[in-house]
Amino acid sequence: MSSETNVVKVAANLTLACLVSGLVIAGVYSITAPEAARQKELAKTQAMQELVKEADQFAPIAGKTGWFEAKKGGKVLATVLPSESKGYGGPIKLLVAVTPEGKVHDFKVLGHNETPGLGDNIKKPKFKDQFPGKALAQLNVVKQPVADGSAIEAITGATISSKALTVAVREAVEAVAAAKTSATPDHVAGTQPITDPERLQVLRELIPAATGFHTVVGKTAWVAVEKGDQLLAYVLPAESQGYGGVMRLAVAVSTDGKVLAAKTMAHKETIRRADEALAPAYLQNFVGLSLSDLAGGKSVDAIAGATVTSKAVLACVTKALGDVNDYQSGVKG
Amino acid sequence: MSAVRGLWQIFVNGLFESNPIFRLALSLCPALAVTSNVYNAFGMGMSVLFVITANNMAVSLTRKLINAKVRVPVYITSIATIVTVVQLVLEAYFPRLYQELGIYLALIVVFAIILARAEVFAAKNPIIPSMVDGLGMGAGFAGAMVLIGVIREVIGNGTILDIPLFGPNYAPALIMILPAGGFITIGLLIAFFNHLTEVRKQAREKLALQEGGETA
Repeated sequence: MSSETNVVKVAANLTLACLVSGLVIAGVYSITAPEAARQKELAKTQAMQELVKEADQFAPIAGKTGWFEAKKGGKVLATVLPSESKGYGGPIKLLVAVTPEGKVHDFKVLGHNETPGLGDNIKKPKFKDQFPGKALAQLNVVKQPVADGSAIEAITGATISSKALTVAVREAVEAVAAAKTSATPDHVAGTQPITDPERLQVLRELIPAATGFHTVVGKTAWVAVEKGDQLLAYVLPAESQGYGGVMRLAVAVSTDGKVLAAKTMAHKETIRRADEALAPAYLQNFVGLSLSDLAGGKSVDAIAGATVTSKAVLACVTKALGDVNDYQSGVKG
Repeated sequence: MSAVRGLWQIFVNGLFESNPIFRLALSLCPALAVTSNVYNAFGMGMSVLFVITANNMAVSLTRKLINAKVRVPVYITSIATIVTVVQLVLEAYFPRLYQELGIYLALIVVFAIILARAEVFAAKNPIIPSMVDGLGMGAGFAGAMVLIGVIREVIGNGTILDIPLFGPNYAPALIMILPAGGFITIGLLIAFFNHLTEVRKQAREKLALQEGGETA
């Protein structure tokens, strides 16, 4: 046998072996891949279910890979997110559930390389049960026993593992807190929530859909109205000269520049039928109007016999719309 | 009859006389690494049993086609293929085991015992004896793994297959599930098997001597 045929034979041998190998693996993979993906998904939900037992739904959070909202009947119980830190023997991987109040709900160790019998006690209830209910400030590792539960007591002989785990949990809590801050609308930065109960009462009646009220930077007496994370409208006072003196309205203007609601706050009108022009039923007519509507001639008919008062109300509304328009273009510019 | 007995001989050879771990002292790396509990030891044992048997059959089937010059690369390709298949199957159907065995699974490719059986046995024998040899060696390996796993888990963790044996007050001897415990266990078991072989050999010699004396 010449050496050339030998080389060809050798090459053919190897090529054939690799070809068969490739075909076999491809065949098996095509069968197992869907099942493996399903198992992975299953393991994930199972881990989350163990973590937040009461939850009946886990909704992925947009823009955050691996983050889920654990819900029960639409109510958010906890944010579930992965976390990781460097332990004694390698990375410790966790799934942490954080309550909406920013406290630890619970965690689950997904993977670790800690010393068996020492470091792997991080999974044992004695250590693990210290975490639920702890706030950020309490997530510190101490070596001495703490009676009041204001810190995490390290596992004897596994301080590094204890610390690493606590860091991972703390980072998860911090990440959730950070995400929450960044999710709050810009207009909230540097403002205070409205706390005066009387004012809140008025505001709530004015805009029943609202979920939060804040002051507005640089605008006294203005109120920013939120619905969830969204800025819904501004409520601002507007004044104009009526028949008997200055009248003041509180006007709610939505962020897209339309009247959302209006309420008479003070007036000195005495003429007959003026009350009608200041009543909620009349003010209701302004809802949905924008500046361009008014400029385009669309308006609200005056109350006969109270034309001046009606016009003063219109002036208030127009002024409020204009103010919000100016403010918003100023903010955006 | 004698054919069956021959096959039985081949099978038993793997279990005792040529037990991969206790007698040949091959593949000690996994014997140390994944025997800290019975579940993993058994899973690893079964994976190796499957790989070695399947590979022995593949090698035996193709023994006349493979050029002697490239037999080792071809064997390795074959082993790697089978191991990958095992990995894919475990990942899909036994995710917990797959996670625990981790990198050791891929390491089966370079287990000396598998290549050794391909070279020493399967390359020279027909498919049936090769298969039986694989089963015997695999069973010997799996048995040894489980034996080590049982000893280490019971002493080192106080459990067997995660079931507590001695109640909550038992303080397990940690060292047994640490690598050091693996060395100690395997060392003692190898010594025990050596002793057993020695005793059997002496008994046979004695027997042979007696028989010789009677005939003389």
